[in-house]
Amino acid sequence: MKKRQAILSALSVITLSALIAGTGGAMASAKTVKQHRVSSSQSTITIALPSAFGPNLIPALDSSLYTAQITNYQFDPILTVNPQDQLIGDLVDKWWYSKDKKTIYFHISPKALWSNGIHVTSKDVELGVDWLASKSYNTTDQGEYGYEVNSIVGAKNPIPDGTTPSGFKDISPSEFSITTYNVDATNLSANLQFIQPLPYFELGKLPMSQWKTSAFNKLPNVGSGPYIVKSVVPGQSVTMTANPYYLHGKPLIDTTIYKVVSPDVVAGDLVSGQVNLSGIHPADVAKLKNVAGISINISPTNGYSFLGWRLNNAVYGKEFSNVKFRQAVEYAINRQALIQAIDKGYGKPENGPLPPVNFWYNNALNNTYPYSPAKANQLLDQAGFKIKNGWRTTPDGKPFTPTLTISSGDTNIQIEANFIKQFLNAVHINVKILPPINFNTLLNQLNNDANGKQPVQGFFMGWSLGSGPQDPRPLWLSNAPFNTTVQDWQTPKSVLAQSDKLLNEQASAQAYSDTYRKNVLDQWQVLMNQQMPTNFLTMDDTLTAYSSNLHGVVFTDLGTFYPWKWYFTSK
Amino acid sequence: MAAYIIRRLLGMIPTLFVITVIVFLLMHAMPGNAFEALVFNPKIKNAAEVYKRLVAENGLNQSLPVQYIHWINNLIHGNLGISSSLNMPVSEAIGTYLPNTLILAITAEIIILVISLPIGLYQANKVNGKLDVSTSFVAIFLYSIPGFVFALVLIFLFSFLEKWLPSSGTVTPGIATSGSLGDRLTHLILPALSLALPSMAYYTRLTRSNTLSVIVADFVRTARAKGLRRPRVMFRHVLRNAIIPIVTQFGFDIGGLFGGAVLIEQIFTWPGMGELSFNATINRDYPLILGTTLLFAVMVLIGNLIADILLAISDPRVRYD
Repeated sequence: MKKRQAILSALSVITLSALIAGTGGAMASAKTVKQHRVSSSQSTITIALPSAFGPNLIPALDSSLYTAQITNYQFDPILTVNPQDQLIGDLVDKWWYSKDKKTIYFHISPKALWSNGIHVTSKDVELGVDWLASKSYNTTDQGEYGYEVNSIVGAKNPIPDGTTPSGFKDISPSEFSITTYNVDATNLSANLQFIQPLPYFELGKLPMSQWKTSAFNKLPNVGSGPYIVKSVVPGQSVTMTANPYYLHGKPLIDTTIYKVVSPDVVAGDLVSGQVNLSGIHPADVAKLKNVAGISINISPTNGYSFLGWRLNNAVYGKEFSNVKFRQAVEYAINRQALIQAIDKGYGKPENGPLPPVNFWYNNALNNTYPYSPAKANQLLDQAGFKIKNGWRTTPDGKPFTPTLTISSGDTNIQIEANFIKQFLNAVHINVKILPPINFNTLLNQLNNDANGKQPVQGFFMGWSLGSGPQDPRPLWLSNAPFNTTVQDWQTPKSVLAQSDKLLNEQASAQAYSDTYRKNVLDQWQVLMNQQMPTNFLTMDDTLTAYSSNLHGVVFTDLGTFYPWKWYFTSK
Repeated sequence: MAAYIIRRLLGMIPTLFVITVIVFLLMHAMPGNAFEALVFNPKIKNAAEVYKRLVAENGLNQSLPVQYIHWINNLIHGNLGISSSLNMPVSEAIGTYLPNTLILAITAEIIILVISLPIGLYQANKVNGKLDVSTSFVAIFLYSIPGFVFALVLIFLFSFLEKWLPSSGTVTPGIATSGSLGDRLTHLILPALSLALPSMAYYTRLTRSNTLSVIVADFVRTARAKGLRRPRVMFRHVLRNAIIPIVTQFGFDIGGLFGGAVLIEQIFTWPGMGELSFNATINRDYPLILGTTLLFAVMVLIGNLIADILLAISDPRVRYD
């Protein structure tokens, strides 16, 4: 859950699921709580990872999201969120602000213990902060990627290894404070909550420059999370055992195995019992829902896909920059049909920069931009795109033949592009699909397009927003990398200024009030919904299949919760 | 022979040089590098600066000849560089993944030879008989199906339906016997069979046709006329001659099996060189691409050398003076 920040998503699979269409079974979208007899014979859960994890198990050192999934089982953060996405205590049980809201005081829970029974102390938290702020950590890619502490006084830039930012104060073994440069209502939930204390008694005396090559990095022997790594088979599996001193109580399942399983065979592995919990693809749902012993959960996802336009494109940048063009595209695309075709119905249309499941979503965006070719045609007519020989021209009367760039490897993207081409053709936009290119090539074109002369014009991407009350500034401020590199949304200036103002306001001192922040974010979402800087497409559901005798799992849009409460019943 | 081997080994150096130059140029002709995606990460406070720094730190801002010379210089000193995607030395990554591929490839080769040669010989002996026709049909059928299809079918049959064998990995995690010989063998059977089956069909056909061409030769007829027993004729006279093209093919296949294992390794989550090189390419991990390609090239060249040596051993007429 640590990696809540946006990531680019691209997936492709072939599956063996066609072979396992089976007989009899049940599909569950929400499990009812019943009295169960806990199985004494099954004390191991195997969770599938679709891709290999990395070699570094010190928190935040590895760039792989799958590695983070493992390290987050071993190292709890100071604060976390509940299934409703509200900030709650974890290793820290109380926290409060100074009057000026620049300093936050934290109290460590007396139940917070390392897996060897030693108390988690402020010194451990300090080491966690020092690590995130250190030069050693920040000379790696991941160091920049997860840089979460630069709001702390003294940590604006990476600092020498082993030094503590002046904004961190070790008040007592169970109390510490963090002072930040600015008042920022989003900082605790968007950054500081993810600080993971590190065992000072293990790592405190080891120079940080040696952490990466240390035995602890390959096989961390203590942790504060529900499970502790017992053994690692590189590229294949990680076996973890229950932490007897976990602050929420010893997990009911003794062993958790994270196992890398090819998406080609994961459905079969679920059926044959080699895997107990795994994400699946929409096409697999119909097959697996009829299989005895398998249940399926469908949860919305805090993320979305979008159709972007290079607004500075040398050929059609002027046309793409016309808000009426983008609004027309939104009306022209039948997103519900897209969801049916691509996601087998598991998803929802997306109307703004936050998906409907997000805590801060503005319900006023519901049902905006219904499929309406007539409305799209009307907007295009108003914007001056005239029809000549069946196809629209630019307002200057030149042929208008924009292109869509798609990445190779995922047949769904190609199918989706074909759908969109048909929808746009229907409103007389003669869009063409370029031959698929490698995803890295697409990134390269977007990264190096300051003069708008790269071939990319329209393109597909997606954001996964993860957990924690979001701060949309890193994605949407006018000078944010996403804006400057991906789409180059620079006009109209007045709208951008208004957007920046609202984004800064949602992090201001007043925004510590949820009501205030919600009000500001509501306004901002309406603005984005009207401006459509990119064409928001769909929010796809997260589909999870699991053994029917596995209970206690709480599925949410943020992932699965409470692994220490999971248990098996006899089959 | 020793002089020949040394001469061939020295001859590999220019070949390897040309291969690395071609790979180096093609690799850099691909758009993008390992750090492009960082720019899209909103958590990076100063993305452009970070990108520039990483590019500079990894020498990607230098001219291609300079980068190549730098790489060769490091290679001579035993340093293949640091993998940007795995964040570890390339040699360490190869050291982790190579043994798995070797085990898989060698097992597949053993299966191929142990099964194909006897069947091919038998078919040639009973040419146009019921068994020859039926096994020939099966061989052609197997040869026309790609290995990854076998992989999926074998998994379905033996892992999902019968639950006899595991579907992925090299060991079973979380059990007391994890990593034991028996545990490793059960994991090896399906991927090795998937890799071997298409080649097995090919080798069977090759053995059959070669045997058939030798079996009608005058020296075989003479041997029979001298009253030698049939098995002695088959193994002493026929097989010795029929095996020569097979041995040559076997040497070439050693390198080929490494490359052919890419898909099989993906399906079986078998952490080998195929998976390593595939991920290196996807991630534009230049040092790892070069390291794995160099290893593949070395394997192919060594395979060719082995083929020549085996040929000399099996065919006394071949001399390498």
